[in-house]
Amino acid sequence: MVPDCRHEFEVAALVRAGRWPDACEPELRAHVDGCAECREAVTIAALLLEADRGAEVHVPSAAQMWWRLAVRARLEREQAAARPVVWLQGIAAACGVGVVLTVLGQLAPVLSGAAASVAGRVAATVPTALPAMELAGRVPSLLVVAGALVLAGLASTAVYFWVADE
Amino acid sequence: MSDARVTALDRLDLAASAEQAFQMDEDGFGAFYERTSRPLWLYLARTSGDARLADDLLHETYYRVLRSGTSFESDDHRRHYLFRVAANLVRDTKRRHGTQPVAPIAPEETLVDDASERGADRAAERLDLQRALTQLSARERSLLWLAYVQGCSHEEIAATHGVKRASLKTLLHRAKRRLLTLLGPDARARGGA
Repeated sequence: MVPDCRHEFEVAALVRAGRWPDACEPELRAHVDGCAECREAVTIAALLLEADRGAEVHVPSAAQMWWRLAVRARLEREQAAARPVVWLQGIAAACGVGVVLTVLGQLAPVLSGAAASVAGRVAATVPTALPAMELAGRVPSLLVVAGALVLAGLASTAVYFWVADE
Repeated sequence: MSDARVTALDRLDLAASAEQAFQMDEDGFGAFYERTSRPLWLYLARTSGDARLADDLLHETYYRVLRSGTSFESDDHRRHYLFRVAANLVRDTKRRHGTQPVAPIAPEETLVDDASERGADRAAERLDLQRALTQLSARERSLLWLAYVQGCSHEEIAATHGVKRASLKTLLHRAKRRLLTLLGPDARARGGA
């Protein structure tokens, strides 16, 4: 069982207020004389307060502190406000890349047909070029894929610089 | 190139946005800060054992209190909340960075009052106390400061440290006994009991 006295904090408060022992009730003084808990409370409070009174403390002025806190609050508010914009930009960029790839996918048959037709005409005009044209028949699909990759790369780079600038 | 100068308009804008963010005006903060900054810094320095860390934590504590959005019933309530935030910050910092050796805080009077015999005695007493405090745990130092220097109630200290009221009494009693034992038999006489 921990010894406990209801006067302990009352006595410590008197020490903090500088009213111990001279300006306190004689009954309380008599109680403290007979109470080990209260005597210890007086000792600890007096020692700690004495140490604090004599300590060297350099805190910023209230105006300086207010200014620093205000600047920090503003910076955090601006960062918080910018966060959804960055997210939106990222989503918009992803949508852009998706649209480019879809359009290229839709155009792929048309482009393949056009390239095959050009290759056929060249083969009819120059018969010796036939083996080369057979190879060229596979070129249109490769061109579409390469084009899509280049466009996706360019779009990603553009988005990166756009977001970095923001 | 951006202009780094702060115009009067910027200051006004900053002050207005701060008051909006903090739900407190500069004058109100100034009065509260004047009353609490010194004891709070001492509390942070004593419990963390690091004067530089206390500077950082002082800023962080006021910032968190101002941004908390809590409505305070009285100035005392705000002050207790301030120390509660400070205690949590010290505990979190200790958890992250581990326990640092406790550096004593320079006593003012050793510099000014060193010539007189009383001044020398006081300096020696403070040094003894500093040494004894370094041997207590951060929690023990915090408990003693909150109870006997800040005058927080058992309920407030228990809430600050996340312990039950009954456990707090035991912890506080042990901290008190430990400090007195470390200070030796002369402590009672020095304390004025």
